Amino acid sequence: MKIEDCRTDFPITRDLVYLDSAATSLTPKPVVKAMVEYDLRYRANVGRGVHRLAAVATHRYRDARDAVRSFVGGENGTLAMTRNTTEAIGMVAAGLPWQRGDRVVTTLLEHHSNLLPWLRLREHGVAVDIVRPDAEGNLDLADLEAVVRDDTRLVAVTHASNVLGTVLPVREIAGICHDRGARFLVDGAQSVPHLPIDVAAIGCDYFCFSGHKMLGPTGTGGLWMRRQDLEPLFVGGGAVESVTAGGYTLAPGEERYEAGTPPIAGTIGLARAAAYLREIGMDTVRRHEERLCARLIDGLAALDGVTVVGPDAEAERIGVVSFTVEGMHPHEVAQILDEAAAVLVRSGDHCCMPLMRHLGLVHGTVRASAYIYTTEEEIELLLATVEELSRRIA
Amino acid sequence: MYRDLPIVRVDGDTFVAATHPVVEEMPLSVTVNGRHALTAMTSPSMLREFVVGYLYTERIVREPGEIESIRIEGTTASVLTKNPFAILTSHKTVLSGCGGSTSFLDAGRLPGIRSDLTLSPEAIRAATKETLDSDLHRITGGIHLVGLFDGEGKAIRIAEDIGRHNALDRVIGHGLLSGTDFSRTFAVSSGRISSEMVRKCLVANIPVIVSRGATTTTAVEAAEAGGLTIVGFVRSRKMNIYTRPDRVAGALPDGE
Repeated sequence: MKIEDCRTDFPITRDLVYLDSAATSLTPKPVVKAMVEYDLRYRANVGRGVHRLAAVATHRYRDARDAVRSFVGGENGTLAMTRNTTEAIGMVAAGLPWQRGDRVVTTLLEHHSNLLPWLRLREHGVAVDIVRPDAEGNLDLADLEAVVRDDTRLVAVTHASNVLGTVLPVREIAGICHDRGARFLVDGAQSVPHLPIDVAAIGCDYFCFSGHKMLGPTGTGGLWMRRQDLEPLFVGGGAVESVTAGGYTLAPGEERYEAGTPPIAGTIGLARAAAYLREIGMDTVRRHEERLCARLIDGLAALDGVTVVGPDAEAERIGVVSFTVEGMHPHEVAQILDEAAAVLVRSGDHCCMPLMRHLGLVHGTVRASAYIYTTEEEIELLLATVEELSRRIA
Repeated sequence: MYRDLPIVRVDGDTFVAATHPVVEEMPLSVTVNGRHALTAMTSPSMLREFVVGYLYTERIVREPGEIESIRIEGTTASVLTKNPFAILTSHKTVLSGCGGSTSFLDAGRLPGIRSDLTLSPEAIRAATKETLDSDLHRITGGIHLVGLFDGEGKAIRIAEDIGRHNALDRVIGHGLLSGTDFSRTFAVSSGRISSEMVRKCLVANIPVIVSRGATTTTAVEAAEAGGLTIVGFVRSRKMNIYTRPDRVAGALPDGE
């Protein structure tokens, strides 16, 4: 499928300019259709049932999970379905056998979801080292290398910043972790939708991502792990091999991490989303966003009173651009863009308050994020509206 | 594929504790669109090929493209077709037939062979030799072999199974998954050519079936009706051609 032909699958794009895909992407008709088909044709629980609908639902669910796993190159590991990235990261934080004196290394580029779980571990005597990026938001690998010690149990970093679009050198970080015997968690919430992902090539131990940012339904996500070395966060129905009054044996596969009824329709929809992205090709997705992003950064940089935050267009980055307009609160800018031009962008701290304060951004930024259905005309409309707005202020 | 099991070896009046290699057998329960299709007793290898070949030769699917997915977990194989709901909403069993798992042999409802393949007797002899050359067969003495060969006598795939029907389904499944043109192939079996073997060849359009062993009257009748060549008792320089000898070079006088 050609990327320019996809817009008809996203009815919202007929009426609105949706530039908030980094928060939640739109979802195409085939994804919705796959979920509706489950609900209307073969809805049943998965796992234990022997009747025909249970068998078909179980088969489709497991195929869907396998397809999502292979979308991130995770064949040689376990993928547990989660509600979102936050839950996946929380499962790692809760599932490792922490001891007092253990250390976690993370960065100030992180989304709250990859920061708070580690900060909370301080209550259990775990020290947290937070590496700070420079004023442009670039991370110096040497700074990170300097704090990864022999007693560092885990390094947890984002693959791509949800505010700045910066892509982190995760392969190199994996090498550092490997050398020091630390486990490595990658927050892939912003990378899976926009870049070709191969968790085996990255060399991480845990990879966390969300379905709702990659054309999939809300309430879906995944935790990929190289080895099944985490204690499950929940135990209960479906997660066990056998149970007696005296105890239980957990199931050997991914089921042990999926106690309770999983998001069945959601996972089937997510697999369809992955197939949709595959049909377009993740390299095409990346090039499309690079082109839009370059135009957006150039256009914004040329406007008086507008400041682009984050790396320039030449850097390796995803299609997320943050900016500020002098004299205006980011929420105000977002409000006007919506009302004046039906351009929908995100504004504020983007769940990255420490990063915002570090960069000296008191009220955060305006963030435009593109995806496969975004067109150059839409980027031009955003630029024209911001230009008008900045002129009015001046 | 086999395990050494303890036995008592008897020789005349002497009884000795010993071990002997015994070929492995497992039940495989196959469901199609959530409905039980068969439980096969089979060897634990090439299960995907077996399932595809079986579903095809039983005409549960008309082409491998109809299969959306096969999941094999332990002793169960779950098959989904691309439109699972047609069969799902039916209350009839997906299989017709008697004897639990195989179809009636009804020549009128079986396709005829469509092939102009001819084989040299040398190719038939060499393929038979190659098919029977199995370590597992030698060690356990308890295995059947079926080989699928191209028109030049080159092996496409040789399968081992405790049952020769299963072994034939396996090589047919392999051919289907690899896009083989069966009209340019022939099958070699270590065992008797039964009517069931003939039926599977007719469905798959394999024009020639060869065995070191015998055949049956029903098999010959079905092969006549469907235009299949049966060659039996292929041993050293000898072989018997039961039906459609025109596919073996030199079997008919020139011009016939």
